[in-house]
Amino acid sequence: MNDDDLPYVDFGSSGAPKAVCTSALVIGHEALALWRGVASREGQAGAATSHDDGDVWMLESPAQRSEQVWVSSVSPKEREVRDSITRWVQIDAQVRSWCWMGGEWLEESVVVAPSPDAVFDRNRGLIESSRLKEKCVAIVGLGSGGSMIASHLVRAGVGRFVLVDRDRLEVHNVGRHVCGLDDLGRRKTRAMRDHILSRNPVADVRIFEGDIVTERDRFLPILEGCDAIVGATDNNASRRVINRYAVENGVPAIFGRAYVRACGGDAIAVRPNGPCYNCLFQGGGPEEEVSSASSEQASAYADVEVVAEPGLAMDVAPIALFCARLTLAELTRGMDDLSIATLNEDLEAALYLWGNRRDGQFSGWKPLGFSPSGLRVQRWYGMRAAVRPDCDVCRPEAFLASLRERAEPQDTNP
Amino acid sequence: MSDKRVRLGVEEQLLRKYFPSVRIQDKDGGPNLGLVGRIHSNSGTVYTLFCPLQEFPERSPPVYVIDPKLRCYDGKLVSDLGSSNAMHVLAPSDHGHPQICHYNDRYWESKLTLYKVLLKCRIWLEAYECHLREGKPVDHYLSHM
Repeated sequence: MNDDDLPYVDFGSSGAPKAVCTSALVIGHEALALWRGVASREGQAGAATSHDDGDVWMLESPAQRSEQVWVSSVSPKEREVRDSITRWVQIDAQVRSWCWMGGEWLEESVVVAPSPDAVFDRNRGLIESSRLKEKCVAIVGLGSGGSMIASHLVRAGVGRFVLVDRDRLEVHNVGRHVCGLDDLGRRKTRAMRDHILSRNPVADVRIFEGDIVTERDRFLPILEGCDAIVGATDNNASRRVINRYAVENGVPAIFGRAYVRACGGDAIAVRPNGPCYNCLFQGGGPEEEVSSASSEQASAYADVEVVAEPGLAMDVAPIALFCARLTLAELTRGMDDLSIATLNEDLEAALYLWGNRRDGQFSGWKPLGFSPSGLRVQRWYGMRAAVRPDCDVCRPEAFLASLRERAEPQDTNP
Repeated sequence: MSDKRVRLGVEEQLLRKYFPSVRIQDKDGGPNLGLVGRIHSNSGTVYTLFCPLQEFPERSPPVYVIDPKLRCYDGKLVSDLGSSNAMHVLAPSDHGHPQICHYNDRYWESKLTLYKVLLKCRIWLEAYECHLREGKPVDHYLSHM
């Protein structure tokens, strides 16, 4: 080895220190490719954001893009440099990035976040993400339960979502919601869309903001093409709208709800040809948690105070997780080669009951103890149910026939 | 809409068997889809009710007393009470018509018929007339009916 082979070591001991270039994290090579040729103007908030005081720059997915970053197929040195451009990303066989610092272009180290398939690498063997990326789930109601269901489904690899809610994220929601204070005041649909894209930047997320009961004609068309619908709302009218659509269109629907003070709850699976929500609950069903005073006041008396009841996030979580699991079982039905396919045999009931603690309607249950028998909290109980022969949703003809019979004039003996 | 129209047709048949002066308007999906009914109380007073049906049967349909203008025992308008547990009324319409509380939305079922709704309103009207005679709140009489 001679002296000419030795590298020159710039120890930074003389002259002005050189600008230290940041690194860039490029999310999703495929997604970024869609940006090719987008022009930029410095100063707009958006696509390139720094984290940890510029330690990492993150170029976000197309769904969140603004036009701040110039993405080019040629290096900046080959193009006319514009004053406003601060960062270039070249996408060819490889991804390279330069930032404009100290009057020169400095190449950054780039980490290309792996493709969505690789993001869900740890699911491999249980569910191949490629099997779920085209599956579409509508989640109606994005409160503490619905947001958690959405969060777990995207992490399982579900690639398409329809998010439905009419509310904004308020202070009292934050304690139980997937979204935090950073999202305060935002529409729950949009905050959750961002949450989903933060897990899977190429997820397809559509949103609907409105009341699905009063705006049913505007709402129902967006459910077309969904493989499953999750009803995570806090009232029966919206559940009935979802239930009727699910039955009439042969789409599985999963419902979940917490009881008063989240002492427990239930999860319901409405499957094609199975009993529907109306078959299971006559007289409206059990007393539910009042999740917000505003939603309850529509049908309450003004001279009787309505207050939102307390309920812990950890008491809502088991119900939400179980609903996510039921949804996953419906999405993978028929995919017998998957390890989780055994769930289809386990989760065949229409109604499941869960007690968080021996309180309210669960107060008569036995202490958890060590015995597997008897009704005890912290366990799921599946219940068989049948289609009601006079159900107005499952058996509309039979229901209408019974009404017609009652409407006929009775024979009267003079 | 077609399924709903069929149901409303049958509901109207059933209603007319017991309440001859009722009809369902805008069954084809017009803007004022609803039940209009003229109900006679035992005292012979005639009440005109309107029940918008846009959200029926998924939600308990509201029933408003269009005519006459209802007053309480003390002369105040019933609609001025807003929603009241004691009088079994819910929020009045935008036009100030009092809303009879029949089925709480929480206990409503989509198989329940408009006939049953109107029957409960008929009972409320009798309780209301007792209130006009004696002054006790409607709630008092309903619990005895």
